Amino acid sequence: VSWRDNLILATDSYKFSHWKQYPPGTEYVYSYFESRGCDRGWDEVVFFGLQYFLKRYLLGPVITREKIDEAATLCSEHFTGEGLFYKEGFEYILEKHGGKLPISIKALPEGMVMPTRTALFTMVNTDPKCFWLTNYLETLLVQVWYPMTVCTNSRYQKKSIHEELAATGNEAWQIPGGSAFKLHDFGFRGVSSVESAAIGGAAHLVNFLGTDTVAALLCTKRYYHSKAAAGFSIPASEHSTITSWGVEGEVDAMKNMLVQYPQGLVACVSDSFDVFKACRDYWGSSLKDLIKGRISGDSWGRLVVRPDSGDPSDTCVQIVSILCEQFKEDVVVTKTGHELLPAYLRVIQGDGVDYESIPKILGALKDAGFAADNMVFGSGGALLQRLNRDTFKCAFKCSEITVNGVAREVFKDPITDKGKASKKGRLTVQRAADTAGAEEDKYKPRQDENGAPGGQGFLHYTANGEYVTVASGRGDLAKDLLVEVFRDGALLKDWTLDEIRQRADIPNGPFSQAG
Amino acid sequence: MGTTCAKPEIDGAIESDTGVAPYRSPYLDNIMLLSDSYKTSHWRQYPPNTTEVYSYFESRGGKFDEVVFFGLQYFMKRYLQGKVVTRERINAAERIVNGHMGLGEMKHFNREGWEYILEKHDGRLPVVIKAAPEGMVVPVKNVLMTVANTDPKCFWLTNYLETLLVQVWYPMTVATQSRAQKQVIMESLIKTGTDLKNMPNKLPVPLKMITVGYQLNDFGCRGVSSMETASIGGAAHLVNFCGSDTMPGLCTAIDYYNLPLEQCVGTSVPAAEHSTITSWTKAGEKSAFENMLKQYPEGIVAVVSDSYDIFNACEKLWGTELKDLIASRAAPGRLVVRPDSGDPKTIVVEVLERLGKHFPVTTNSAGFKVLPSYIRVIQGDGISYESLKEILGNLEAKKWAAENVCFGSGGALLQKMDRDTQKCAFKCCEAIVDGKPRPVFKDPVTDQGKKSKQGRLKLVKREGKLTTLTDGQGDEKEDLLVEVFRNGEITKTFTFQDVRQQSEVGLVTPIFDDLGPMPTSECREGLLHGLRDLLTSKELCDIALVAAGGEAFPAHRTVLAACSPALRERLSKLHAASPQADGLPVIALDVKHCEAVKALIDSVYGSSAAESDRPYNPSSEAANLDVLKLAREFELPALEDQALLVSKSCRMQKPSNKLTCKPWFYMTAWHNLAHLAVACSMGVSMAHAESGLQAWLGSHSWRGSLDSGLALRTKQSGSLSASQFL
Repeated sequence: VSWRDNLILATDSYKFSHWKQYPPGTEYVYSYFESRGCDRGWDEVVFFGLQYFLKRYLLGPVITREKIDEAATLCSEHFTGEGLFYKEGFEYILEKHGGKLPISIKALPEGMVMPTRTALFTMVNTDPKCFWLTNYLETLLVQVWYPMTVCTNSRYQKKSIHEELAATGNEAWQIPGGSAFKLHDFGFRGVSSVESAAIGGAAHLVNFLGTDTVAALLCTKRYYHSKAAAGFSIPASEHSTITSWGVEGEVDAMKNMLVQYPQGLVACVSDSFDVFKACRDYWGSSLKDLIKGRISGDSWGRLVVRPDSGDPSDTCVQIVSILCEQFKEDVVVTKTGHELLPAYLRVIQGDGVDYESIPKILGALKDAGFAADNMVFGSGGALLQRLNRDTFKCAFKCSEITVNGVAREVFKDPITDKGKASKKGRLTVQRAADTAGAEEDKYKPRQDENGAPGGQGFLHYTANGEYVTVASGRGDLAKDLLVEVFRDGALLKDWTLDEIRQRADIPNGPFSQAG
Repeated sequence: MGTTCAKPEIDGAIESDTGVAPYRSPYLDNIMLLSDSYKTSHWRQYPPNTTEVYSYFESRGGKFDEVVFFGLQYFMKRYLQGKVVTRERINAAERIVNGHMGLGEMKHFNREGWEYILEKHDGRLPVVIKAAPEGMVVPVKNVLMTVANTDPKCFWLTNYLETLLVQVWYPMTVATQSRAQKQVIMESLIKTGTDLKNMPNKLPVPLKMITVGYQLNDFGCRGVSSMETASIGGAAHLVNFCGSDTMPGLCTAIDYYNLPLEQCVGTSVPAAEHSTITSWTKAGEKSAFENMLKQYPEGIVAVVSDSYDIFNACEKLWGTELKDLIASRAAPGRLVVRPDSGDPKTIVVEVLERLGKHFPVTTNSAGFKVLPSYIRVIQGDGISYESLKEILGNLEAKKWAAENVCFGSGGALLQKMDRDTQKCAFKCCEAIVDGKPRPVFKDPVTDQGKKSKQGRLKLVKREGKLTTLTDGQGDEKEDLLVEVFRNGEITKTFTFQDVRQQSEVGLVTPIFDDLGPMPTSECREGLLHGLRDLLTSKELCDIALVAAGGEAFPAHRTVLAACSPALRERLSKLHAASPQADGLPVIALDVKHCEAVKALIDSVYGSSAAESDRPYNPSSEAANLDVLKLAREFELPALEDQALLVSKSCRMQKPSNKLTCKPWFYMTAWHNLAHLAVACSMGVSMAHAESGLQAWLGSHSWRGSLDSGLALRTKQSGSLSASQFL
């Protein structure tokens, strides 16, 4: 028994019982996935990650005799008794469709940035006998919340770093400058599994080029056509490689780093005992010449000093101050008058970094007269783990069902939570500019307990008015931004990381720079 | 725009006949790549002449004061054991690492080091891992695992494995939080009138396990970050509870912790989701509900009821129009009403109050209100450790017993936590350099909380408390850390049952403490197999069991004594003058049928498990009653269960064609249907239940609840008739 190889088991248990629960005569179940808003006040998401799930779990003949039997055995114990598992249903897919899933999925192009409350993908069965299959796949496909949320969270951090770089006089915007390497993924150990590291790490790589999560490289390579390494890293110490030299040996350990890696970038954790002393007495005094010498002649190198404890804002300001003082002869002043460490020296903060602390740290530095470009960030838990399905309130809901040839709109609209109302009927996502919209057709949610359930109107405009989800099958398929990506076991679109990066980039971001 | 289905570039030789294989083939199995990038550079950074690096893992504090250590075995079996380094993997890792790390000519991949492991150690990892037994509850700030290299040339390997091993934070944190929720639920149950402590254990399954075990269900599969996470986190929740909708979690408990399939019984029930209700349209909500009751005419069924108006659903649909249908479902049927929106703190009580208006509510001995056993409420929205306490507190305040409600938890159970929840860290604490061990630690001026331990560590019990000895103090013998991995081999395996029992230490009352004898590991299975062989060939037998005047059955004293305290007692009383048969001393059994003796021996030697295609089938009821007698005399629950199952006079036959007795028992016992569960497991002749229970349970204090259950049922159905229980 293994969820890894058996799609039938990659689900919530109660889904096994649902085939008996739809109305008699049900032929098609049509459902969609959306973000119902964001608890951090962000208004856009980057749609990313569906392709991984399609390729990894859904493509090709995924239902086999062995898998059916295996699932049947487990289910008969799991559910106290037989008769719940829809063996005939899976056997039908095996026999009629060669084990390929009779499902059509339409989705936004991956990497597209879209305001919340918009349909992001839709699903419907293509064989009326398999009406129960659409929502059987919900559990798996809703997991798209994760790469999408990581990607969006990471993109908002890119935005804030970009703004602070601009505000403190940065002029180099092309890779490797600008924000491209400014937020490094430290999240492998702090995430909940290797697979999550792979998916979440890949989502971060949509926005940035720096990662220590090797699994992410494997993921983008296999599922998103990245040619060479999609992200980069540098040699760096950890506490054990410094503390194993003993307290007295810390400076030798640091020297060893510079000597072992005479060229290129090297990062060194410096807070094992006293980070301020390390910056002043070791890096800033006894090892100073070794550091300065890293850029000379053909040789280019950079030391990145890493504090790893203390209040992030205070610590960063103090460290940058100390280093600017110790290396003052080479310190640069940007066009906005902010001090910037020499090219051979930078600071990386990898502790307590998240979407809230980054602007705080960079703000504190700016106020103290230092440029944002002095800093690089590393983020672990906050980047890949401290997120959940509620961060963007992701939900998958049925919006239309066809019973005996007649389509009916389906929705929920609990009086106990207005925010959970779902959209009705078939959906398209269109540009507002492409869509003729009468005022009375604009969607208005139910006003009170006695209002029309499910609200009125079918044009769900985004908050910025740029896009509209057209409900109730009233949209124009020719203008639909949703693209069919999967049909009957086959992948119809295969996005590459390169094009996804372009699509998801921020204005003037590293991937949209010419050259 | 996207190209159409080009084949991806894949490292290594992978068959791609269907075009699909590359996407399915393992790509996250290369241990050299399951690490942070910077780790690939560390082999150059240790002091010269380093020969050993010794590191440890701990929780430095956090939300809970103690943690359940769980999950390491998954990581070891999945990623570390066996020949994990191959030439092909070295090549693949080298390409990726060197293309990814650094600028310029310098190569960071430690090819030489990995080649050495491949050649010298046949690709098996030369490290030793010691860890707290899985499931052990350990106060924070104690060592939980230590790792060291076993080959001095591989000093760099210890911390190379950190990234992967630290991921144990996740199952450990899930199990810890889920256990804390179990404690909260237990306390509330006891406070509001459920007598957990006096619930009998000598049943196929302890009743309190059923009562509590299904009260927090895992709804987290869709809300976690990947299927692998679901599989790990789901298993961690199952350490404490039995109810789960996360299929991959169940699979991991089975695959990696030998959870026997029969212990998965009833871990979930049929349940509606919004789509299966809303697809009937708003006007059809009643039909959708009715369909649920009719599609599943018996057993437990849960129905989400807030699609439009939860209060209307409770009062008008469930409470009025469908009321009779609910009450008339074949016992022990149960409808579980699920609200799924609104403020979790108040919605549960609101729903109970509304149902209470329409269904007959009784008051239990502690003075709390209980809905009839055929209807319950499940809250599966907004459930967390924090909200659970508030909701149960609110129930108590409004005089509703905790047994009216069970819970489902998704994101909070499996996703809303991180490595900082229990501040998990892995640190080097000793290194051997120039042949001399030196303590290693960090102690940043900027955060005293990050100070690490130093020297060799032991986890020991001192004055009843777990504590960590540093700097090599203490005796090896008192170390509670167990060696679980050495040089590529797993040296100690824990079963799921081991884990569950360990994790219950310190709880109000254990619920997994008596699941009867079952083979628990491959090793023990091998032992059983060997013993059966000896029995079949009659080798080394030193005792014979004999029914009144019948055939003598040779056996082994140690085996009999190990399985039954009563037999052990009898064996200890044998003396030289004891009667003999076939040259063996005899234990005479007070039964007439020889086959009963045979059945006892089969059960003790586990042959029923070995020959499951030949089910227990007594020649007569009288013979079966002999078996039952022996089972009870010698305290052999599995045998007793077996006899009861086929007993005619005890009417332990199958309640329906579809269901076997045991699942029936589980179902009736879905949290507080204890009284019915006992009745069902007894075979449910009412008269027999009455008399048999006294003898069997021997717990008069508990009978109060049984009586009230039966009385309640009688009152509702209007007459006392055994047939109503079947």
